[in-house]
Amino acid sequence: MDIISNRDEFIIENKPFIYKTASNICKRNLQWENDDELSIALIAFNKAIDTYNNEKGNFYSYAKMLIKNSLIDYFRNNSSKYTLYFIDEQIIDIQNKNSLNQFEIDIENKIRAQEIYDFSRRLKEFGIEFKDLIKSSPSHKDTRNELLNVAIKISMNEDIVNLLYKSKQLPIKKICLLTSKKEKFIESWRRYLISLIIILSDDSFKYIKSYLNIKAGD
Amino acid sequence: MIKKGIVMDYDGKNAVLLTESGEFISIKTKEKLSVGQEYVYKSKVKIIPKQFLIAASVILVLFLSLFYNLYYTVYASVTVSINPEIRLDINRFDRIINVVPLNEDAKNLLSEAKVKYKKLDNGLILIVNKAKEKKYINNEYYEGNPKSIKLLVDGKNINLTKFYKEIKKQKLNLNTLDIKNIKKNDDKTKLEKKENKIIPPSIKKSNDVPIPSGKKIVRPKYKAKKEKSVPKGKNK
Repeated sequence: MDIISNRDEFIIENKPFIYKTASNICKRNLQWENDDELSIALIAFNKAIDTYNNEKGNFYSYAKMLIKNSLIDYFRNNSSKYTLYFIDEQIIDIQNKNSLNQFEIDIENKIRAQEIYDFSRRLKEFGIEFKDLIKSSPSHKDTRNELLNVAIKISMNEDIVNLLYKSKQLPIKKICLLTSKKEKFIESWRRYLISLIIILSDDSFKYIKSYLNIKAGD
Repeated sequence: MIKKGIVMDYDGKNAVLLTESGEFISIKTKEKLSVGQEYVYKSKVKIIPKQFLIAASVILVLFLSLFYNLYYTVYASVTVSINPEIRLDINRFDRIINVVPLNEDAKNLLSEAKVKYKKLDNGLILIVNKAKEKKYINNEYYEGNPKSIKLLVDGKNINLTKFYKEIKKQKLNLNTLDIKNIKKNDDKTKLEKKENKIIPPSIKKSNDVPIPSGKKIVRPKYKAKKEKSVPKGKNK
């Protein structure tokens, strides 16, 4: 960010972008004076300015990714207040697509490919392959959303996450106590749940995490 | 159906996509993909809307229940009497839906001849053949002899041509009775009996008089009233 000499000016210029990104994730109109979500988005944007370099592709894509991940982390920390859900976007964001040139897209794809490679290695430690996840991922939206909230709760609990990484198995009973879900439910979606927990709890998969269209509702 | 996702795995033909909505899907494509790229997949399979499925299943259930009702509604009954006496209830498709043995011999015969859900013609032929096997039908039932197979038909438009042909072929005696004709005859005799009972002697007497009884009773009363209503002064 050498070109931009005045950081404050740049942030003020990009306030509409920050607002749009944040309100899109929160699915409601936000107010600069009252809503924590906008402050978190602003901090994430500031962090994006700090950490951005040319290897990270388009700046706005990068900033959007950071804002999205920060907000998901915020929702995760306040999981009692928010219910998260996946959204299937019908309209492709043409404006955003056009603003990216092929070079930037390629860079983004490369970063994502590296993350996917790491993610696949991590899954293999649990004996899971992507092909297994096709059968193990729920096709029903409600089930997916239910599992997303279970995964959010688990990723907040360090004990369970550590136990999961150590034993390479889901501590189902502890999860049932934490989430008050049935053992059978957790057991049947075990593989999908592990993949979600890894994505949500590990910062090294931020591009994959930001790709997921997670929104917050009360 | 359009699905957008990032390519997680690709082996040249099949790819695994992670969609924005967190679903892992498998796709087949001829395009060259690379892991990490975003790919928009258009499947040729059309999704049938939920409402259409619900409507279709409701129609199916209605249709099935209607068919069930039609199938299991007794349309006609045929009673076969040899010595075994059997009542066969049939539906409008000429299928036997209920078999009722009316005596012990019939029970014995039906234990070996399963006629339920068969066409009426075939069922009757089977019964006759079994009766022959069990010697309920002996020489006395053949043409030129006094005994005959009795068939009592209760219902409309029953087609028994195949059965009649078979009976002719086997040269058996057959006596078909239509219950409607019997009923009509019965009704006629009953009516005649009733008429005889109903006509009481008093009415017979009134019939002798040429004026109808109603007029006879009403008119004099009316006249009498009129006479009463006329004021006495005016007459004077």
